[in-house]
Amino acid sequence: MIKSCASCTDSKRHQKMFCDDCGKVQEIKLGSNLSIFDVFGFDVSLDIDKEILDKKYSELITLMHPDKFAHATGDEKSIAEANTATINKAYSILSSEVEIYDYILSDIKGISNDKILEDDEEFLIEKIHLYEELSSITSTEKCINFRNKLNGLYNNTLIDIRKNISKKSWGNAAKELAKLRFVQNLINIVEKKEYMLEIEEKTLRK
Amino acid sequence: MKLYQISEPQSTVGELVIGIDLGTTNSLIGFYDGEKVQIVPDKYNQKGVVPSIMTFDSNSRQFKVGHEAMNDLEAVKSVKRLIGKGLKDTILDLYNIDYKESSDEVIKLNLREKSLSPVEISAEILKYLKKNAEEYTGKKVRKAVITVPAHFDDAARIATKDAAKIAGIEILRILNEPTAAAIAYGLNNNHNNKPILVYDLGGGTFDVSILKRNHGIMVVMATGGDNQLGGDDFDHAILNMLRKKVGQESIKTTSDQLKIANYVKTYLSNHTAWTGEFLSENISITRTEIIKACQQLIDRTLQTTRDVLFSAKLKPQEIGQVILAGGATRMPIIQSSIEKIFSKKPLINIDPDQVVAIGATLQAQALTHRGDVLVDVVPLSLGIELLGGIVETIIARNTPIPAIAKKYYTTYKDNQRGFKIHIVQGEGDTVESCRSLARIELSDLPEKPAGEVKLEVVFKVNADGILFVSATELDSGKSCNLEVKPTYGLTENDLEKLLQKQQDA
Repeated sequence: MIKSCASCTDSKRHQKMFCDDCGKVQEIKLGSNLSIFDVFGFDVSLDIDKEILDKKYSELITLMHPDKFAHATGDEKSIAEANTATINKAYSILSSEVEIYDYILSDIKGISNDKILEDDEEFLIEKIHLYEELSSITSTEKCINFRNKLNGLYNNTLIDIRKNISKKSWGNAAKELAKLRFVQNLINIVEKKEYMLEIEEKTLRK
Repeated sequence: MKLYQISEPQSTVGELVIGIDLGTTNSLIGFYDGEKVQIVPDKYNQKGVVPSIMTFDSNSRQFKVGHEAMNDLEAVKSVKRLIGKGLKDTILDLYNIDYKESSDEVIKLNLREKSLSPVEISAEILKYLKKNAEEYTGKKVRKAVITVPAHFDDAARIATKDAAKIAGIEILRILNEPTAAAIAYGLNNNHNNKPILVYDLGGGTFDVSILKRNHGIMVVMATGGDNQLGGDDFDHAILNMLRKKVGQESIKTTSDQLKIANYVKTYLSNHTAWTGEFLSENISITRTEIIKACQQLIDRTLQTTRDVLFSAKLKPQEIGQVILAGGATRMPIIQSSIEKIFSKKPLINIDPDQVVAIGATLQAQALTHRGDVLVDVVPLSLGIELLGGIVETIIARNTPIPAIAKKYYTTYKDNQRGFKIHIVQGEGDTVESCRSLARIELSDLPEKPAGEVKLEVVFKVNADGILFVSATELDSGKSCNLEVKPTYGLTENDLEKLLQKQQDA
């Protein structure tokens, strides 16, 4: 990102984060010129290496956390705070496959979610079956089986999304992503259920 | 009485670096002496443990805080349980004090001729600590890091900030208590890089936090707790058991009885049996008996511990170290219960009464002298009430802070001129199961068909865990000046008046 500093009046263009001339912190403004990948210095990619992500996150936070500006002027402190919030948000997106795909499709490719609200009939029926299966679960053992099934579904959907993205078939990719999100939510629900059932089963054994 | 040896001040230049643990039962103040943290001793307690008790002395017409207030039966205790709360959130009858002047929004306690809010009472405790530190070091106290329970909600955090303001202290940072304990143990020395769990059982609150080191920074992975569970509850449970023992179950609770219960609890941490007098009867109590009396409370803390592990997606064996904070963790049963879950001995080598104040002071030092960065999280989900009383989460709990989130809404009626936003905090799906934080309203919207006026609502949480909300009508770009005023606590006006009073005094 190239922009001019808001604090010093120098019209020279310079790098993000800090002004080259006066050293004051600059606001990170996400938009068409700056993606969350840019904030982390990454190329737009479906695969983010967790280790590199964590390291970069730590570097950015060390530079930008408002605690580093505890004695700075009010302006710099509030910019640092807003920037850290942006970095935190970007980090949480880059830490999750579902969120990365969503970001690429909606924020970079501009595929609106409204258009893909309607599921294809096949998946609608599958959804109903999955819900029925979920509500019939009464033991941790069944939870584990169901979770395994969902994980399989998750991985298959993931492959489909990648295929569609590589074919630049954005609409279909977005549809698959809605499916992926649904499966992800279901996995979260079943994990929670498994946890609650585990507690129940433990108390019963006592 | 022994006089304290006051060493030469290390340097007279610069301000004192201060950390304060404003606890439910006890409060402490620490400072950095250039090499290490020192807890300021109190003239009645070498370790610097000041009971969070305050009273108004009619004769001297002065407030008395700490040990000097302890023998006054009307003194106010555990006020932290009331801070940032309204009448319906709390059982005031337990307080043995007149609260007739309270409203749904603000609690007022009548203490002799004074009528005081929990914020003002907390401010008196802070003033006492501040004075202690100034007398001990010979320097002025201006800025400090103050700790709060990790799961303190927005209203309670703002109320704590207000209390500091009234006491003439600028808050450098509000720090979560379990995070402070982790800092005190110096997580930099944690070489195996596994997450650390802090089990913090204070006098009136219970917190669990899991932290880990991520390259050069510390991040909180998850936090949880119970702000109506603490060491005090253990005293009450033991007291009930003692009464049963002497067949006087329905007798009214007095502070003397509670003192005995607390003594028995402490005594049985180091011995296996206690014999003594209770309500004029000689009785014997074994450690096993108090374990039984406290089992339910212990189980509650262990369940919360497991819940937080679940939130962090961790198994007990993945935790590298467990840190204990809060005086109540001296109970051997708590230590052995923790050891059983994690298959390792928890750390308690830093005095659990002092560990939070030490961590707060170290954090103040880090802020002043550019130390390690620590990223904490939102303790309780923040959301908005939708039609039908359903809550939409805007910022989920355990989101790293500072945090920002935006949501877009449209009008639902033709020519709708106003838009009300009800901000709530909590984990429930419905408004009833959450805490109401504030209501804000956008007015004078342009008259347009339903759905054509678009509003952007922005939630921001700063590093202190305090929420700011703004709402903008997108077409005109008109940003209504909205400020979150907590439904509970002091209004800006009340605060101004109190600050004025302070300056006049």
